[in-house]
Amino acid sequence: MKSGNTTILVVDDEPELLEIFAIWMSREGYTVLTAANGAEALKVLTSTKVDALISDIRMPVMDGLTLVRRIYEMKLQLPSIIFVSGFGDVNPREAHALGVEAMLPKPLGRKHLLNVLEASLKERESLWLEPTEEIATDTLVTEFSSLKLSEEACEFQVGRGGVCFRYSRALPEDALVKLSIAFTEEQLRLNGQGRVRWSAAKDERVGVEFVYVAPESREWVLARMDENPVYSFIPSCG
Amino acid sequence: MFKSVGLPHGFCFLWNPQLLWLHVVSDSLIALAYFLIPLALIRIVSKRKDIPFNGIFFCFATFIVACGITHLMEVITLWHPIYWISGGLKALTAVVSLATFVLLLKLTPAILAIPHERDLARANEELNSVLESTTMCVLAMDPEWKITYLNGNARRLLAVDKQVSGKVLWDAFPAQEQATRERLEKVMATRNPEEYEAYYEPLDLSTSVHAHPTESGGVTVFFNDVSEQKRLQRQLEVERALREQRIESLAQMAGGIAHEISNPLGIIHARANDLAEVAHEGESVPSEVVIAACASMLKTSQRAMSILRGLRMFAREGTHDPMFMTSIPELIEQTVELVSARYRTHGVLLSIVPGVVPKIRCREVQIGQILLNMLNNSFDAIDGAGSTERWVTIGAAQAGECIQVDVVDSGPGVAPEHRQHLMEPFYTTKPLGAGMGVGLSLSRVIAHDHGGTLELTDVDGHTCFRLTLPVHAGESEAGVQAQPEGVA
Repeated sequence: MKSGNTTILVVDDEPELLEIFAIWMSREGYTVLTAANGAEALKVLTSTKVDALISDIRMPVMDGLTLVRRIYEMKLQLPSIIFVSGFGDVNPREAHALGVEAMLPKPLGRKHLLNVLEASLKERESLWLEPTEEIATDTLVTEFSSLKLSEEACEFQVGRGGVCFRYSRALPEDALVKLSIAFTEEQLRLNGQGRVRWSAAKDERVGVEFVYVAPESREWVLARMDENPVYSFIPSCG
Repeated sequence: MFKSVGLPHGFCFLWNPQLLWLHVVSDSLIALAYFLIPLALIRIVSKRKDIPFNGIFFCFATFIVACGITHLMEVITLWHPIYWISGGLKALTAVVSLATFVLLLKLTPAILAIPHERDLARANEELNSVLESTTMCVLAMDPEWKITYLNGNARRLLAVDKQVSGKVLWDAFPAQEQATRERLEKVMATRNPEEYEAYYEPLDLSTSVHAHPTESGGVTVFFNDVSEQKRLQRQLEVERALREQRIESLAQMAGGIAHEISNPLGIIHARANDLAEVAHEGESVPSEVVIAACASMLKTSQRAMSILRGLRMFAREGTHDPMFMTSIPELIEQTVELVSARYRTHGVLLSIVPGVVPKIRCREVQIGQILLNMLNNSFDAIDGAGSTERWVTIGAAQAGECIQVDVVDSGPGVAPEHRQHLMEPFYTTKPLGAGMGVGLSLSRVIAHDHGGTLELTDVDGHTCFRLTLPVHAGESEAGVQAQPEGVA
């Protein structure tokens, strides 16, 4: 999909940074649009088809979080949203629920940005095929009586890029974990690897981004996404 | 047995009328005197309750009355020979007299132990010198609040002489605070001691007071001058508040400042990254591209530096810094850099009004804190109002012998009821938790320290906070041009 028909919208209130990002991406063959703040970006999004949005968070007039909230409310269904910020001041649970895929720190190297962008534009079928060789720090084993009931009770939800579910233990962010989740009634299992994106002790929920989904789980998980399309990258379960 | 025996005593005098009457008159007068003496004694004892040994007085009275009776009998026996009765009464008198003697003997040591008046006077003098030499102030009052004693320290501290003794406290020191008066009245009424701090306005005097009830029904007050302590305490409080405010402003702006610094870093990083990658790939980079990239990096790093310079406003209090010649327009620029992130992300336009003003002598960190405070305050006023017009201007101008820094905002203005309170410590119109309200009052304290003022006024119908600082004669240097710059 890396070609001239892929349109990227870059939003930053820093003109120089906007210029540099635009140069990098047009060199890779993307069509690049720019906006200086959330309001300008929203104007572009409502008039043009955009495949990916790369946005700063702190901006005048309309900040990045307000922008993705509007996108979510307007159901603009952007395939990919990446936040870039020098300051970790956004709640990852909320951001991922609003469809944000990745939050990258500033300063940001060209390769890093392009790699994340490329990965986020991949077709879903080509994702999560290979387990990573990195060693998981933890294995999350849990069992639900029914998939249907746990979805209704917001105890298990699948998003575009990961799952959130009830888990009593608090986990460190960014930790690579093994997943072993069973649903008794449907006799389904979710086996795979994921990266902890957020962990909330208050309501015992954890948000995990998929890294690898085992073959025996792939079919029903992808079907779940199709049957019940959620725009959230990782739902917030509540 | 008590019948008359023998002849009347008059026979012995051969009824000589002169001799007879001499005895009658003398004995009668002696008896009268002896009857009157106990009355005098009773009067003394009843008036001087503090005189000990009431028993001996009773004995004296009895024995004297008895003696009086025997003399009366002498008169009667001149005509009536009732010598048995007369003798019996004499015997009784003898018993009472002996008893009195024995009692007097017994009491002798105790009576001798009664201090001599001279000794009492000396003891009194010593006590007085102790009270006069103590560093504590002593003020004694009787139950009617009349001042009975005031030691030397108290007279010095309260600036009065000994004439004040005998006056009623409330007349001698009429401007007492209500709280002080209530405390003293409480001690007088409850007879329980009290400790408290009092302030006496006419002398600008703070004291630490112990008020004690006395046995004679009055109140004695012991007090110390703590004015200096209080002044230091106030100063410490101001410094503490300054410190807290600095931390609060820092916390408020930390995110913005981090963003402000991460942006230039991001640009420099990206430019350098770009050049390095192109060079790695072995491509030759045209020199104008390198020059442009470097120019961008230099300009951007300069921007980051100026933000860091502005951060020294938080590095220390500045209260004890020496005063230096300072360019106010430069200080304005640096302060604006600090807050510009906050302004920009909330869509508030902040611009500097250019002006030429001489350098002034000041503690730049403190003046920077005032400017910061004014800008943050204006920001809050606009942000809270949600009005469509969102701008703030800051600029310095010379007005006679002073420099005026005006911070004007497009906000709704300050309601008249808030105006007079606005500079009071901890007064805030913001919701609870949104601000400490200590900022403006402290800013005003700093301005006063510099011989200046901070006031609220109007410019073309917009709220204006005006900082006025004096330009000291002979200390001004060449005018400094403020850079005209729209920041947001």
